[in-house]
Amino acid sequence: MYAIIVGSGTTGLKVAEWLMASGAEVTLIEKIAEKQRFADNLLGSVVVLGDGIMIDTHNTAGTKRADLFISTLNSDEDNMLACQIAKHHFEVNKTIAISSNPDNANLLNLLGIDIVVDVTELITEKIQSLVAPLLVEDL
Amino acid sequence: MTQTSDGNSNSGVQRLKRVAVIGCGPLGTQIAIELSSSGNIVIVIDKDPKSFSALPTHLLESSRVVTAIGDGTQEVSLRQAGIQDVDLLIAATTRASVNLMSGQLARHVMRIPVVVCLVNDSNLLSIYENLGIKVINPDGLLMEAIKGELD
Repeated sequence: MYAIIVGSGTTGLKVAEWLMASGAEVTLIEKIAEKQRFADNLLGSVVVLGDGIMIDTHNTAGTKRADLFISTLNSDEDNMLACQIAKHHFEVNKTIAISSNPDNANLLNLLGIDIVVDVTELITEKIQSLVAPLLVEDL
Repeated sequence: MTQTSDGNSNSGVQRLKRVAVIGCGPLGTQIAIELSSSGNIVIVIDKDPKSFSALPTHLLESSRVVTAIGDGTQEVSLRQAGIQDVDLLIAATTRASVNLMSGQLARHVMRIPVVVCLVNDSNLLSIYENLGIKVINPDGLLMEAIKGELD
């Protein structure tokens, strides 16, 4: 299994660590040099310096032979573009995009991204499940 | 160019075209001016109301150019701006990913017949042509023009 992850924020790093521990081959893409060096030291020379929304970066990272592509940038638009490049140009089998705006989740699905992780919904659900019992006690 | 009456610049009998422009930066402003001056109605959408300041007053007063504050990547904003029946949408913000999301929303969800996105990466042209979106590379055109001058 070869996985590409775009963005070395907390999510990107955690997912990369987990995938590597599970035996997958991983390449991380990070466009800020300082963050790229940090992640590269942490994970052991698997971090490419480049912009995940540029095709050139994906040529370097080897997106063409990836089985899994995960975009974890803060911008929904950038995650959409990165995943569409992976899907439509490099024909990656499974693309996953993080989305922070629930209104975008449907659109990203419609545009061919295989899995959209709606962060706002996840957090809201978690808070609801924690708070709901307190509301019952209150009654 | 001063204001001209309808039809002077277009040959034959043509219906007024309605055009949406996403992003009112220097490029979006220029597109709005050009297209409204040649007899079309232009709706310009931008998140920042200050961005509309460069639009000429006479075009706004004659409602040739209509402004709407909103996010071009959000269906709600596009509907509020009244762009569901435009003939053409041009996504001209400074970010390629924003233009492509806005453009695909307009084309595939709102069924706008023609959508043009400005993208400064010629590698992306073929991907989006295949997805029904016309892509123009402003930087590429500029380079072509400069090279042309050198020949």
